[in-house]
Amino acid sequence: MRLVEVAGSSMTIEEQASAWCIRLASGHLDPAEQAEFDEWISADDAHGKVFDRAQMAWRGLSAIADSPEIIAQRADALDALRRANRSRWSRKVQGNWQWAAALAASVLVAVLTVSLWSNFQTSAEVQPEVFATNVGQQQIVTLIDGSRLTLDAQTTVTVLYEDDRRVLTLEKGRAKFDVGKDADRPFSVTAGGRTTVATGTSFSVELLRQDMKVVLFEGQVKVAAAGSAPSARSVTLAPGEKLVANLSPLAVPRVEQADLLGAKAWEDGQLVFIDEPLVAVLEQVNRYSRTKIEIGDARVSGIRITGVFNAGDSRAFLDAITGLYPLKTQVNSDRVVIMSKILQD
Amino acid sequence: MVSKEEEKWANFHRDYRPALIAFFLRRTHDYAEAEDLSHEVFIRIADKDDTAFRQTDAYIFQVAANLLRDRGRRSQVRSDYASRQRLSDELGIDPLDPHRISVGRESLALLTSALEELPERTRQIFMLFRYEQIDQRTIAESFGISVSAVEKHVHRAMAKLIKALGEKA
Repeated sequence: MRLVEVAGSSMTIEEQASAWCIRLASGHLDPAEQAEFDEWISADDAHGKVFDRAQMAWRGLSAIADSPEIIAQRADALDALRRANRSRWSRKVQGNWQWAAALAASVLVAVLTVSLWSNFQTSAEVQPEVFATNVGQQQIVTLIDGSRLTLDAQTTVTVLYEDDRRVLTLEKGRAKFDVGKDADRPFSVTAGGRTTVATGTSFSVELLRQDMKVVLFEGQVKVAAAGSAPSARSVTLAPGEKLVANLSPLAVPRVEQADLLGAKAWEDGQLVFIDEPLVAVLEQVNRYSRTKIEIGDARVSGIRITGVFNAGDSRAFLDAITGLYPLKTQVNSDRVVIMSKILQD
Repeated sequence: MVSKEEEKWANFHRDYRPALIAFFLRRTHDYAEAEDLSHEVFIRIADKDDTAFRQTDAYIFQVAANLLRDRGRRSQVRSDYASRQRLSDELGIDPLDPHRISVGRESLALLTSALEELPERTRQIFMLFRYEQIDQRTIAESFGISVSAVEKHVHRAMAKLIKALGEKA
């Protein structure tokens, strides 16, 4: 059957060009397809022109893969897929409880897992995988078990999956973890000397210069000192709670109510601050910008910031805070220093 | 485990194959040769160090244009080559100006807004196929639709993007 006729002869030229573009992207054409492609492209001047736009669109899509808008849409698509699969399994199991149906469902689960996560097929030698983003980048990574990592800018996470556990380490930055359920393999994220353990849930971990933070969106997690015995003292978070711990191992972490919308906003390219010290605010703002903003004198660091900013727009951020507070800026080649006006005068 | 390097290569092939085949096919009118030359581009870029991956479209098509020029010299079919060059000019594409082939900032903005305007389910299916590289059968099974329905969603999404780029021109 001819490629552009398979889906019915009513395909528009654009749709035909799409079919060819995707076929070419997926590998070599067999001789019959080659002849058909030659024939198609020379049949009409418009075919070549439209095909050119098709391949530009195809390539252009990878150039925007990590932009905040696309990241948000990819996350939405993955969520839709997970929801579809969840309701499919429950449909199958509830609607038909005979063993055959149950078996069919489990086979489908296996097929789905293999085809979705074929990147991880051979896990014979277990080596940690490293995922990292640069300034202003975000990345979504889907792991073998369906867990999803959303990496904020300037973030590094290492992932080590073993038979009996899933061990992740946040080396720097911030990431959100949507954990695939697997009661036999606890999912842990270590950052700044503390380990957060979950079975199936959604939470984020952030590493700042002085603190580490865990925000729990759904489910339940336990946070304990890294490397401690399971029985050791730990803090259990409920959904909507936030744990903030100083990086010193002896510090007692505090648990407070989290602003959940604000805590998730970075995924959509927004930074939300509610009464946060300028030092912590700048650490987040600087993740998105090559021009780093620094604090010039001690009086400035005491300022607390409340507001919503677009990630990556440090200019607007500076305008806002210099408008609100008695501050002035001094611009150097790759950094901006904020100083107190009063001190200078 | 597939290494990051291999994965990057697979993505690179997937992104650039249609463009390179089209680039060569228009100039050689021989699919098998276009296939060989595209393959040669991948090899030449692989020989460079890792930073080549981050090179722009302009760089990749410069490699392609150079290959084409070498081939033209080798086969010593100058007049033939010149006639092809004329043909390319008629199509409005200068084979030795790879900048024209880059997907510009403006086009990227058009793609982003065209994606936003897609119906929700079409966009979700397209995103899963294009970015998460989930195969069409898996998508079909998950959403409880046929594989040809998935194909329709994907082609419809691409058609919107193609039209968005066309309106600019």
